[in-house]
Amino acid sequence: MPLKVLLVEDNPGDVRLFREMLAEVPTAPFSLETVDRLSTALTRLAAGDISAVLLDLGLPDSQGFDTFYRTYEQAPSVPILVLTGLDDEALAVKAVREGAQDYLVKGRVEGQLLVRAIRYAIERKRIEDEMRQLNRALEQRVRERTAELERANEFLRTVVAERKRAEEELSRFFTVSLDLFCIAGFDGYFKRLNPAWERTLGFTPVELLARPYLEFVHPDDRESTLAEARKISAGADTISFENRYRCKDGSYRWLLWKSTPVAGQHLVYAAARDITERKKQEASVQEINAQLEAANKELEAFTYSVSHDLRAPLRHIDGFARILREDYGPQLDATAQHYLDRVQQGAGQMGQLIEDLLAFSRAARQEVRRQSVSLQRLVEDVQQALDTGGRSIDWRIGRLPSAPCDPVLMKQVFLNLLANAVKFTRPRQPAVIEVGAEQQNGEQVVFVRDNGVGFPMKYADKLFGVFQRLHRQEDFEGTGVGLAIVQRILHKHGGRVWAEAELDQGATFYFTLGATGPTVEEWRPSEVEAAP
Amino acid sequence: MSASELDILLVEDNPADAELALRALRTHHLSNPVHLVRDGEEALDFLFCRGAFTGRSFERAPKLVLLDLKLPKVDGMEVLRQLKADPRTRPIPVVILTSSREERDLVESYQLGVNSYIQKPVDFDQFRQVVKQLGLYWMVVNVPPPANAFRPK
Repeated sequence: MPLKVLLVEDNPGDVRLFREMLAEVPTAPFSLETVDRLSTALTRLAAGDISAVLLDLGLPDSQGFDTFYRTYEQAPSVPILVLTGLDDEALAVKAVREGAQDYLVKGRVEGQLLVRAIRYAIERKRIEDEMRQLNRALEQRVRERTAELERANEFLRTVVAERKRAEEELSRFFTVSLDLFCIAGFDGYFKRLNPAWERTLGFTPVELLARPYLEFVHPDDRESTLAEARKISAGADTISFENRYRCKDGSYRWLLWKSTPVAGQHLVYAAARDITERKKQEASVQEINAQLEAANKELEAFTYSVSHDLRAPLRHIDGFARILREDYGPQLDATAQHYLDRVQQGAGQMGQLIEDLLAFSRAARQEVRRQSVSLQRLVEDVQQALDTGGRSIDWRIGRLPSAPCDPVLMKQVFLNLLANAVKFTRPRQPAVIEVGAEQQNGEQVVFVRDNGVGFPMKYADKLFGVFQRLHRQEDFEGTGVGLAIVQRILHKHGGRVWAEAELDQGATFYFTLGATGPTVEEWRPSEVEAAP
Repeated sequence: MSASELDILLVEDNPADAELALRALRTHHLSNPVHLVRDGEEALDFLFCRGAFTGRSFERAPKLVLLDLKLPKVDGMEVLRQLKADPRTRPIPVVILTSSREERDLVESYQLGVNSYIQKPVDFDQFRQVVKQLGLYWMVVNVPPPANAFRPK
């Protein structure tokens, strides 16, 4: 496709002349379009695809420089070659300064020159445009770069402000802290101290900075402090180290340390906490523990002595009363025999009291050794071992779960509860004793129920006290220790025990094994499985 | 069973207990060959043939020692310890007869090698039964250690 060149020229002679000149150069890649008025030219330029304009400045509808200006305005990217006569070359030069590519003086133009001028004009214009674009791009980049720098500056300003604020914050914490902060040198001197030091020890920072810190450490703690300092300077952190610092009044405060070294600076950053009060409490707890231990030992000694010393005279009373009866029985009258009975009964009862008291004390002292225990088997074992005095008892033992508990102690619990049930159903025919497990308020509860003589509920709170009895000795024998033992054992397991009863309507004893007792899952089998 | 041989050494400081024990043994015709010592030191002198008992011989050891734990001077546990530590006295069967049923006493006694541990019942009839049973067992049923057992190689 030949490049389209628009010739704006109102003189038909000139038009013909340009056509002929172009025709002279057969290799010229141009096709010429001609208009004779500026208005037509502007319309044609608006339509596009014109590669260059040959513009006569003197047209019927426009004259002089204005002609160039309006054309240039209409199509700034199209190269314009101004055509001029000899008399107005100055005007043409001005047009070139303002953006025209070249000017041609009519009458001095011939074919080759015209073609070269048009080509150069197009080429120059292209290069100019490119350069302009490059310039624009360059300017754009400069602008962008400037903006970037501006942003970076802004960021730096924020960072600096932030850091300053952080420093102020840290400094405020440093000042306000209850804990003692310090920076100390590997040379054994403090370098910086927060005000907590003065508040805690009474020494001013100046006093503390003036001497090696070791001088403020309790003489007994200096060796361990030195060892710790050596570890720190070797690069180790202090996690928890305790020593005593001297106060201005001569007393000492216990400090707990945490620190980290900065080897490059030969410094250690450390925080210390005043734990003097805690130390005092620990010491008093230790003292109380020691007292408790001593009390326990005393109790043990007492128990031992009771078991040993009190039993011997009882044996003598019973033994010699019996011997008296054996050897002199025939000589004693009925009253004397009755008194002998009383002596022996008294001795026997006191022996039982001592036995039970010792059993209670043992249960109280014994450690709970938990393991998974089948309560079912425990109850069955106890039930089979029980002496029912030949009575027939209707045992109804439901499904019982396994639970983490002490088997020896829990056996004692069931033994005492079942023996009670057997004892207090003595007047019943048939005697019914039921053992089972059930849910109560989301808690699993084991119960032992009997149809025995029961008791009035107003005495229920006395039930579990040592030596508390709700029945007369001649009706139901006993020392009133069994349920106290039951309660003690269950409390030691973290559980509880309580009873519901009515006089002559039987009694039910309930117990739980506490939070560490069986979980709901473990209990489920007892609920699901009915009797076969 | 020769009457001249000693059968039982009873170590008991309490005269009432000693009297009851002897009576219980007598009831079952076991009391003749009983020698009573009243404290741990005397028991050790007897068993180790020294002091007042220098004339005794290890080979004529008692067939049974009935030992109380709570004794003056040297307690029963110490008597047991020394008895079971020496090869010349180790074969002698020792039965602890005590009012104590404390676990630590049981544990220590068995650790030291006691042959039997009996808690004296408060009830005299029961006590008599117990004495009868242990007398019959150790004096009649049990085969005592032969003389060679007291001559360690």
